[in-house]
Amino acid sequence: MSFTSIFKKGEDKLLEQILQYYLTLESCYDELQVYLNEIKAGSGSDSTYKIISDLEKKADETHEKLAESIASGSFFSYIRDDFLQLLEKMDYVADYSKDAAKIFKEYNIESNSINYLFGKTLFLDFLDAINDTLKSFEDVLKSIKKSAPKELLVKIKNVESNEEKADYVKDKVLIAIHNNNKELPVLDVITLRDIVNILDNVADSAEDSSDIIIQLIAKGYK
Amino acid sequence: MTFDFIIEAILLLLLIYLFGLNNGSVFEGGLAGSGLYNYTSAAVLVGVGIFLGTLIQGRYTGSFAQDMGGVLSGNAAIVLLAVQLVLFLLFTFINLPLSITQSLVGGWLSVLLILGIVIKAGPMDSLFFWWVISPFISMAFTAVFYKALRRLSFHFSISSVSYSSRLAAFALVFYTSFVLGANNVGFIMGAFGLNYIFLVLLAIAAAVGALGASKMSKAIGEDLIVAGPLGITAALLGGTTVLLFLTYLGLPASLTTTILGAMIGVGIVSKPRMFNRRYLVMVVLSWVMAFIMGFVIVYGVLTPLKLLLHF
Repeated sequence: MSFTSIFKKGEDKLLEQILQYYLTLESCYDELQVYLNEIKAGSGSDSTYKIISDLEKKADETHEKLAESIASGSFFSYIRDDFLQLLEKMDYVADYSKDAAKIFKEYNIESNSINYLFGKTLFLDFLDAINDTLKSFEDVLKSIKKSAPKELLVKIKNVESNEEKADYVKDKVLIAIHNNNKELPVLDVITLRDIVNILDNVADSAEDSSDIIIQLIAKGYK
Repeated sequence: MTFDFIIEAILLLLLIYLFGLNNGSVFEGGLAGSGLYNYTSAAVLVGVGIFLGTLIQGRYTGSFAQDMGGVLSGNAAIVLLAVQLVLFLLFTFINLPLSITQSLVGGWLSVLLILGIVIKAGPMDSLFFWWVISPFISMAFTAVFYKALRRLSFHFSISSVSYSSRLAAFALVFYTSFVLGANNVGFIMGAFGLNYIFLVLLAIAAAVGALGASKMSKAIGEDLIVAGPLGITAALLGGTTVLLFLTYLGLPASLTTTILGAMIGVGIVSKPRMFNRRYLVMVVLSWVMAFIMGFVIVYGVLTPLKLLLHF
């Protein structure tokens, strides 16, 4: 640590960079939603898929740079490992978003099955619940710079309840897919089930990340 | 400049180097060990702090040494310093912090006895009394202070707590070194009648010693207790303030003892409590042994030497 850096509040800068990184991850999921709307309407465009893929790649590069800066820097050094773990968990938001898009793009799912998924299950509600979970975690990251732990814990609780809601809707979607297997080809049932589970991991990643924030609070105030 | 003086000067510089190494492990180590600081920055602060502390407030414990027996020199001083070096190496070998002050005072009392100087009971009783109770005062004071600090910190964001801890770390390394200089180095200056030019050399030697404190810091920071930045801040502030209080009473005392007492205070009020009991027992034993060994070994070496060399 250099003498001058002792008096700079580098912590805020680092937290801002982490927030920006998360916004990139989140935009990957936003683009996935655009892609899914295209699929619902007929077919997903390659350009949207490319945007998702590029965002995921960009997020990976930012992740690497941030991890390097956390590992070699002196801010929050006593909770450095937890910050690295946080980045790792957050990164899954983009990874799983891209994986879901990839399955839609590369697997031949019949249009009937797509229509069934979007029209007769709670899939759109499921996507909204995931979105709410991601937004509530964004709120946590925005507050970490200025909020006291008590306030932060309330926001973390919000992430958890949104994730639980996503879980609940996910179960309904899975049940609907499985119980109507006579109308859908078996392979599509398997593929759609995989997609739902992969998307559920997006919400789980946000929730796991919020758990690490609890860990940061526990260690940072010790 | 006599041969005795040169030997004495070399031994003193070596002792202060080890003193920096040993004490650095306690106060600087907590900070660097918890990742808040690097050793080079801390070592520079240690040197400046020790120098200024001795210069500005070293007279308190310095006058204690002079009131008790005057300035030490010659063979007796050389034996006293050599024994401290041996003891330090022994304790380093078993990876335990040694209170050089306690072992030095123990040896110094032997020298006074052998030279036939009457030891005043009042100040000695007071010294032992404070030695025994100071770690407990430190423990209680720090436990309360840590609780209050934690409660206060919950009103601020993690970013502000981290920033404040860094600033506090910077100030505390200096404060601790300052008090260490005022108390311990002040006593050595008084006991050996050193001048201010020598003081600069001592401060440099202590800073160089503090640079090498990383291994022992780890032993205390991680082996004894698991503490975060607030815990370390509270322990350093609590332990050092108790030593500052003893300095104003004119009593040389061990920073190792007061800060470890403070760290235990932090550990007691922390949940979950994480103590390495075995290591704790070893540390407490080293507090007691430091004085006894300093006294016994110097007495044992000087008694036959006195007969041979007639000093």
